[in-house]
Amino acid sequence: MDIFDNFIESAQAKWKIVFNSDICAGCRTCEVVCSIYNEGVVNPELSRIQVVKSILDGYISEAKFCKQCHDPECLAVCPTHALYIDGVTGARLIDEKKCAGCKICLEACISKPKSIRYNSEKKVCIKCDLCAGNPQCVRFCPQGALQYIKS
Amino acid sequence: MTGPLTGTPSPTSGRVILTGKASVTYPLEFYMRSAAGGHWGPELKFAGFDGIIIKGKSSEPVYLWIHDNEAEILNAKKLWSLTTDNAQKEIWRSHGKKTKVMVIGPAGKNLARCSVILTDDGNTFGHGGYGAVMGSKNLKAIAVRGTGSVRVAKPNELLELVYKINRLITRKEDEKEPSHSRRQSRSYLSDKSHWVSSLDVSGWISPQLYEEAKQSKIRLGFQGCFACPINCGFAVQFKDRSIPSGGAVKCSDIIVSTRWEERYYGKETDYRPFGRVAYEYLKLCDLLGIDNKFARSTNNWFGDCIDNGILNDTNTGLPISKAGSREFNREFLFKVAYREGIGDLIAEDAPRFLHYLAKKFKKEGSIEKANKTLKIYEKHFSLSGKFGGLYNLSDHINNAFGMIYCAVGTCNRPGNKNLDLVHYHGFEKNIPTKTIKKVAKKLYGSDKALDPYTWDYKINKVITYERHRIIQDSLLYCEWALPVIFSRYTPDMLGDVTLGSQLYSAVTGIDITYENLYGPIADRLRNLERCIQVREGRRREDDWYFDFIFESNKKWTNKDDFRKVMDKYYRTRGWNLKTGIPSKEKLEELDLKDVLFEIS
Repeated sequence: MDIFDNFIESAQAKWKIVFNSDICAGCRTCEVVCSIYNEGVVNPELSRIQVVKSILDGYISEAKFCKQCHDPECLAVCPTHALYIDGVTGARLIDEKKCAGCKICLEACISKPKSIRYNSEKKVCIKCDLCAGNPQCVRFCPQGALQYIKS
Repeated sequence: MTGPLTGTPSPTSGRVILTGKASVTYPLEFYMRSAAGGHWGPELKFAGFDGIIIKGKSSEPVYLWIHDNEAEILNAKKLWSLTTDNAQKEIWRSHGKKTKVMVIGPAGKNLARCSVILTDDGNTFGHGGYGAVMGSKNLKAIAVRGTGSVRVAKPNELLELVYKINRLITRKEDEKEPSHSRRQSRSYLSDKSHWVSSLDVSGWISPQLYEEAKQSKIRLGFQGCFACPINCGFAVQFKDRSIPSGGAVKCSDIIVSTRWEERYYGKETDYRPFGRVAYEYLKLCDLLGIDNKFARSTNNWFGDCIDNGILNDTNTGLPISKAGSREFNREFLFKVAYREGIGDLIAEDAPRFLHYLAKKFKKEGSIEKANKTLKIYEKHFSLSGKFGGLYNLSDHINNAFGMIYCAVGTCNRPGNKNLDLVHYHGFEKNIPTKTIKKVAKKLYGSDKALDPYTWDYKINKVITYERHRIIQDSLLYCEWALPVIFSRYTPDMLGDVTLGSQLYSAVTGIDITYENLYGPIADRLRNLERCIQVREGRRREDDWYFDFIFESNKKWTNKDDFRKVMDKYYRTRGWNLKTGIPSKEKLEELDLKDVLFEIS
């Protein structure tokens, strides 16, 4: 076995959240719950899941969140090795103690809008960590627009 | 104004309330309230503010721009004449797409009393004609953007409580399709003239539109207010742009009778509820900032005027003979919004327009027509004193409970579906009658409170309603969510009526019991509201109906009986029997001594 095989296997995402835009009503319960569960306050700007809406032409809501990329850019560029992969869920996490708040990971994120956000109070970056295997956005979504599945 | 629950995970915490002197009420423009759902309220909290007080008037068109602890008054010259959607787009261009906007349309600008204030996702402050109030202040919009945080006292406890409540209301894992998850939150499923839930039921959206959605010619979307587990709204995107597509359609859009189009197109047509014509009417109302309750119902003052020959093509200059048609709707709405021709008079809204017509007919010598017109007013606006002109009352006062509730209602608060027990739940959730009667006994003292045509236990029911409605308007949640009286998901099918006080405690950290919050505290608010109107001149004689109403209800009641019931209500409330003014003792008991001086 190639010594690189292990790296590739651990770099593969294991679990992920998926989203169905047809069902989403744009209620933003996911944003509210994520921010209060993870940051202790209600603030959609501090939510790791973001709902983007187009409401003057029909009413279309899209939840945007970390795709838990197979080969994550954020992890590759982090200068303090604050980003790591959770052994169980495969979630790409930020260790807030190691995070310097430089936002290089945020710039490197390939998603639009960025899946990484900056908490200006704590001066660290935050991102979806799948809530240790029990993602609260999925739990609370009243329509079932978010699902938690194996990659 | 926001409430303590606004901007928290509490279910339906997106609401915001507005109070002030209404423009539509008749003959007095009196203190009233109007609430709106959506996402505007929480944004104000994220910006660091609890509420806004607007005094006076600007000399130039302006809008208010609120953002993260700052507030500015900005020039609205570019926005002033725009329809609501274009004004929103301009504001988003200037301040970013996440800005939440409440805005008036041309109807508000032109001081039409039938105008509303629209929030950007389609929710409105519908009652009271406050669009004209904003227009009279030269205030086009209030835009807000907040990136701050709302802190709650017990975040973990609150989250678990919210999870528990949401699962009493809806359970997505039990449903096969997403549309089903909202079905049990609804009432009146089987009566097609009322509001139904699923998009695929033809009473909600016309069969043809649903077919078009399946063929991807139009796109159906769900809309939900901030942190709401029910998400009752929907929107249609017409890909061919044949009909404006902005914003959501909400409960209030559907509750107006859906038979207006039948007048022209006949009963079994595609143009029925949420077919293209109805949808266009509602959307035009939104763009122009007109109240959709205002003239759409067939069983409404405007329909009655047509049917009784009061209004016709000649005396209005409108295609009255085509009422209900797309052509009529467009011409009517534009003429009203821009006050052209007869639109100038109709824009004064029904109470003033009908009285103007009656005077005109009398002057011309058409006494019979004048009387007919006044009768139409009495039928639909019911209250005979100075504090009338409220919409929807006529729907509620054909039963004992409604007659008391609406007579003393200081502000236009429609009924509460959840508290109605029989109609809401018995039908739809298949709650056994035995269970309903048990709950009625607990809430109202006896299941006799459910008999529509007797006075027994109705005062208990009225007071319970009033307490729930005013706390609802104070904490701010939506009546579709709370109180959770019944649930499909509990073994005994019962909910928990104390959830509102539990939410308040988890959010604020202040321990409060249900009995206290929905008791003396609610009564304090209720009496304060009453005193505001007493200061405006309200007395017992204003808590009364036209003879027409007693005529309509004569099968089961009469004026003497009603007078006695009202006596009992005033006694229960601690109000003076002669004047209807809260007594000195009552106000002292409720810690409203300072108010006493103002109303003495």
